[in-house]
Amino acid sequence: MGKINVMKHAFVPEHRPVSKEDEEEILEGMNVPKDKLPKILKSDPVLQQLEGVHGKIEEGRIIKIVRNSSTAGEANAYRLVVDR
Amino acid sequence: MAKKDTINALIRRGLEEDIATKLADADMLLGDVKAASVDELKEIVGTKKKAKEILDKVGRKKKSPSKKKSKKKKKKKEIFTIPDKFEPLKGTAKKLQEICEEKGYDLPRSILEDAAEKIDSKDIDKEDFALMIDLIHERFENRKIDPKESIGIVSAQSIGEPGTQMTMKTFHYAGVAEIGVTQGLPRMIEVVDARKVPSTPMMEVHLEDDIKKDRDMARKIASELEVTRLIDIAEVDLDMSEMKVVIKPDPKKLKSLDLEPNDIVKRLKKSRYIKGNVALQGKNVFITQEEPKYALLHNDVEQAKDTKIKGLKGVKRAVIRDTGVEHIIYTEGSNLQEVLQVKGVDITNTTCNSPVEVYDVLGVEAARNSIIKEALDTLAEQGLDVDVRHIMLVADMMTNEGDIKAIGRHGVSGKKTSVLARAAFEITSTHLLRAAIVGEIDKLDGVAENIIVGQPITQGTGAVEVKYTPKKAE
Repeated sequence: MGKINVMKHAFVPEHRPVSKEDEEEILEGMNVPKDKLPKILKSDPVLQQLEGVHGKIEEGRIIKIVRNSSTAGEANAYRLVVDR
Repeated sequence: MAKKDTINALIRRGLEEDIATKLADADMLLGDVKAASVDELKEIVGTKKKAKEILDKVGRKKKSPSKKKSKKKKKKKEIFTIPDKFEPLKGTAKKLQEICEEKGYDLPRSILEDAAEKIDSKDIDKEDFALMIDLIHERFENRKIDPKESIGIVSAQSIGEPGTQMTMKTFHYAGVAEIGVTQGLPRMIEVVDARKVPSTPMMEVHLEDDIKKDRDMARKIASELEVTRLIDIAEVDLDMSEMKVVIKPDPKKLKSLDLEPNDIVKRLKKSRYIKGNVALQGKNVFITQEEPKYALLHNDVEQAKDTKIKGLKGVKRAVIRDTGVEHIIYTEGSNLQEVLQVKGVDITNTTCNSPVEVYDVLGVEAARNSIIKEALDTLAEQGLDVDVRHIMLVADMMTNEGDIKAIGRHGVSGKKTSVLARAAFEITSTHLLRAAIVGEIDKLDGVAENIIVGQPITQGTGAVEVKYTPKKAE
């Protein structure tokens, strides 16, 4: 099956892995423990392609998502990578 | 062998034989030579002059080496580039953003853009910007939802009340030409239930920019999407006296679909279900058996009729609509994964109406957007105006675990950690019994469980406690 760049799709917002150094700052800013973040599966199509750009993304990394929000214009969200 | 081809190709382009041999000996193919920089070639042929000469004859026309390099990189990475979806703010909005950063305010982009637009039309002094931002920030903070507010309840009521006005059953065709789509309450339930396949799957296929105004191209792509079975384009008969299956393709239909009788033979040969030998004789296709048996022949007739000749699995019909700006293909039945790979299809805007399918192809975040879009469209179709934030909350809950969970017993509600909350919802005895067997502990964190035990709930004012540390007596 040919591969398509799913990140080009209008439904898919910008995904970027957060560096380990920045993780703490983000969690502190939101006052949330890491495991309470929304999840993203390791098998997610977007994550699979992201691995091609940023190398392997292990479980427990945080992915920053810049959503196109109809209320805020641009909204940051974070998801925790889990393997299930 | 391959080396020889390369040498020949280079000589054809006007290089001398010994130079061509040198290049080929360095394990370079024609493409590599084309893309190589002057320095790389210099190492192989010796002088810079010669290297330049090679590039003039073989290489791409007039491009500086640095540019060539960047282009090569881009091509390699093509499927993996992350497109930038946001442009940085410009003009007045950017100034406002800078002021916000200075003051440590966190105002959303849309507010800054709105404010900038108003400022631009009103001719306001730059000195007053800071004051305005202060006022905007104050109002924004005032309008934020309070901590511990029960937004879930507010959302439930805000979606539920308009929901009572939705039609229970609709046989109404949505504006889309002849394709009936489930609407109203049944559709809303479908979306929220995260049904694997909706009752009326549908796709909206957009075309790439350069062909979107071309009706013929739209028709061609539509015919590639729509499933065509053999029975649609040919007569399939069983010749009892000759003991063979006769397939007579309709030449007109073949032509309109851009097919050859040979394509039919190829397709039939690929089919696992057809047992006989397929052969083309003249314009007709025959299926014969080595040991003719009626049962086998009958099987082949039925299977042949049903064989897919063209199209994507699951796509029953494709209709083209001209919006004036572009041609959009609407399909009955959906196959997002494969449609995105069809040449000429715009992968940015092509969607289907099933969030679960979007999840499989494009991931959770796309599924979240799909849920929001479908729910909002269904409500809007009925003339109901529900704030997006409520639907966003629902979509957030459904995609919280990384996949799509339905709202209800099998999804979100069944996942609650508290036994009492689950028991209060549905199938009470089963939950209590199971909890008793495994020895579950209820920490009484949520609302339902605290109501059951008769304590103040942890919402609103119930969530805060007074802490008092008495002064030590002196």
